[in-house]
Amino acid sequence: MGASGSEPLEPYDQPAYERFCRALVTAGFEPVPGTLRRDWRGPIRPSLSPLTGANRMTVRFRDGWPHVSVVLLVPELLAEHVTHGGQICLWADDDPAQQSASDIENLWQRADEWAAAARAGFGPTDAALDAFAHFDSHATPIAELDLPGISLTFMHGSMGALYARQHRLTLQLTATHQRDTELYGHWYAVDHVNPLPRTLNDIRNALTNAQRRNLDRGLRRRDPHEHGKGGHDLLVLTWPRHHAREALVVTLSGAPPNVSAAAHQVTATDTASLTARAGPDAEALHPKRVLLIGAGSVGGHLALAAATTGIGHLSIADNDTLLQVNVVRHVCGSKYVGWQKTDAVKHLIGEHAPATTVDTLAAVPLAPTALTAAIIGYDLVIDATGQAPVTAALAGTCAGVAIPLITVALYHAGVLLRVRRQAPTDTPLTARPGDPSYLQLPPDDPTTRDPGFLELGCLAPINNAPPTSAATAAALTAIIAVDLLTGRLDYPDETVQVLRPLTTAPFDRVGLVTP
Amino acid sequence: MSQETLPSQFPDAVSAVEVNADKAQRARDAHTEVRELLEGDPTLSGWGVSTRLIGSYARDTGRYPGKDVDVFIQLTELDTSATPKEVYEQVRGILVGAYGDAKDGGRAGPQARSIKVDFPDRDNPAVEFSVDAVPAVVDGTRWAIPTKDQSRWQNSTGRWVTTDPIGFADLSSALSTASWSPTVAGRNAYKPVVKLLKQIRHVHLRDARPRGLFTEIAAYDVWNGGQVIGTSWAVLLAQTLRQVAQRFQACASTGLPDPVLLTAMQPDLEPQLWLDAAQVFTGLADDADTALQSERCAAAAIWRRILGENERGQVLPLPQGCDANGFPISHVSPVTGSGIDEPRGFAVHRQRR
Repeated sequence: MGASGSEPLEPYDQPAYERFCRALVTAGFEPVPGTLRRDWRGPIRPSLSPLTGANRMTVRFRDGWPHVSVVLLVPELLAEHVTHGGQICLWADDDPAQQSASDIENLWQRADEWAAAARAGFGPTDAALDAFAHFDSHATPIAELDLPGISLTFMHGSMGALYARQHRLTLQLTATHQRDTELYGHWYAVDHVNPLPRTLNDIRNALTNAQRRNLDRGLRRRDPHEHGKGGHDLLVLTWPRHHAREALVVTLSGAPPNVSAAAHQVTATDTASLTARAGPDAEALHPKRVLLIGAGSVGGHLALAAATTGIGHLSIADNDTLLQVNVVRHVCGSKYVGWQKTDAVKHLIGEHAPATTVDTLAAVPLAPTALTAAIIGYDLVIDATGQAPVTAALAGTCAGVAIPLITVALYHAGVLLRVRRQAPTDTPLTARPGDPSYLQLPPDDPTTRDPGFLELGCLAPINNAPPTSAATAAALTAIIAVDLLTGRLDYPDETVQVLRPLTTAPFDRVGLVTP
Repeated sequence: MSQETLPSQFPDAVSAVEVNADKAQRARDAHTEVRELLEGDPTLSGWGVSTRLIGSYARDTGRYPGKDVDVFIQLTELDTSATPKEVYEQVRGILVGAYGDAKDGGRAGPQARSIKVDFPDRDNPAVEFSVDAVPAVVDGTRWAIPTKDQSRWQNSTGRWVTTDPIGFADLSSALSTASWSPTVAGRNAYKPVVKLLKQIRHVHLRDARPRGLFTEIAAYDVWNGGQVIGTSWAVLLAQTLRQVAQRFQACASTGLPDPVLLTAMQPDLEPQLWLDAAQVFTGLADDADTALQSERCAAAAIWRRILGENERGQVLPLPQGCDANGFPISHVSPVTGSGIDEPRGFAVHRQRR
């Protein structure tokens, strides 16, 4: 988020800004010369006095005011949720409630609440693993760290070797030496850290005697010109915090005895952290097995969406090869040209959702007995072929063995997409044509129908559905699949989405159309 | 037609041009420090030293930011038979000795007839604040300060200039407490209007003369003469601009009388300077009258051009619902929360990754 800039503030609400500044004057604040009236200094807020020896504080305007609140800067403030420089964190950067601080009374009220929490102890809603933000100095690469991969226990006083390499804008830490390791250091685990360390010396003071001796030895052997050679280039301090585990990653610079430290923002790389981003259904979806038939423009996107949402096992069937012309609509890019589509999608899923197992099939047989044998054991079959014969074969076969089926297809050059679900309690697909409770899609108008386009090597015109239609179809199908697999069944058994209006009602307006 | 006086905006404008309480206290503290220093000197003590705040700080007519505090060093046992050089050098020696000479990096800078001592803000060293200390000897019932032309200090005549800054402060106080003097919402309006007027002079005349003191005296003249009547800040300021403009016009031929000494204020201005200032103030008075007859947003835009801005920003704040060009706006920015209004916790930041 932008801090004080080199240009005067351009508030989004000039009258409110001027009222705010007037209120600052009334409260005894004056603009700091040379800051273009972005910084105002004045008397310390009484509620903050017990927390600092300073008697003055700064109110700083940031670009985006009043949508972005001012920040308060109080020197010598020792508390949590105070960054380097004494900036009090009154709101998270993305908290819309900060806009209320366009009224200065709301700002003071929030500051008083913060002060009260700082004295009495912050609550669970204030929990944040933000130790790096309190450190006096920061370094740019984001440190990627797999804590469970380093140690399972982290007993107080434990420690171990650590290696790191820089990959573009990240610093990747591991407990084992890799061929391209650039930095060497140690991790140290303690039971408790208070206050949050702001300097290398603070870190040292938090260690046990044995850990401190190890650190001191590592610092003495430091050679700033020879990384990874035995002296410490980095260190990690880890301790329990907010019912989780905090990690402060710092890299070192300079030569002994003048070694300095800078903290890195830290992000986790363990499976649990990845799974946490899969959404609330990930745990319920992990045991599920899904057969996806068709790995084309819709199927490819669908496979990736299904895997990243947490489905534990995917079997993907398709006998097609990914070609250069496919990459415009396909989820796999140029580096997969020449691969079987199924292998390409499997590889891509491995990069995004490593917890999902994938196997690939060249095709599914269409003969009834063989098809039945192929689908047994799955919790759901998804047809993304867009081929009516395959859909028809699957509809009957799945109904025969009570295995749910979801089928998706695009119509009218991607203007319409339809997702049909056939769960054991739904009307079978074969019974829907002619059933007035189901929507009959309008036929193509022969006079205006887009014939597609001819292309080398193709036996028929190419469907001109745009990539966005394929991606939308895939996303909607994945949502309906999750809805079925979790047992919610909030969606109807047939959903049509109109992406551009046709002339025939009810498809003459955009949006979802359900029977 | 009723007049648009911007009753919600002008009180903010008044506070925008006033020195805040902290600064006023700093002025008093600086005076105390210098006074104690001077009164501790045996020579000055023998000369009957007694100091007072004078100037706009003493009269409470200084406009924000109020960088200069004037201290009057009264030497009650000396008269104009004393030589300015001896008196000045004694004071200079004490202050330069205590604060260091400015030309050597110290804080005391000898001026033509006074010594200026810088008092940097402890938190904002860039904020300028200084005490200007001028020695004075008894001159009958008045006081005399050294003439600015130091080459005349050894002359038998013309080496002292008669003055009575305390007398003008007394007159100002009397006017600001007189029962007939206009008030706004129960507060005597004279001194706040003088501050607004000085702000306007600063914006529109800049370094050109007449400067602040002469403008204040002209304002005192017209207010004391009962030529300014009204019950709102806007009306009183508009009338003051008009009357002061006419006063400036007259000064081109008569000069500006000292309200205490009743002689012409020195140094007098060239007539053309008075006429130029009169023309500017007449134009501003015309604008002010237009503002009084305008709707709210347009009136605010006019007054904002008249009053300008200071270090705190625009002196007159925008009324809600008006843009800076003087037009109503149909809506203001959605400063109420566009999402959930209940704040989340005190996190440092939350990055979506």
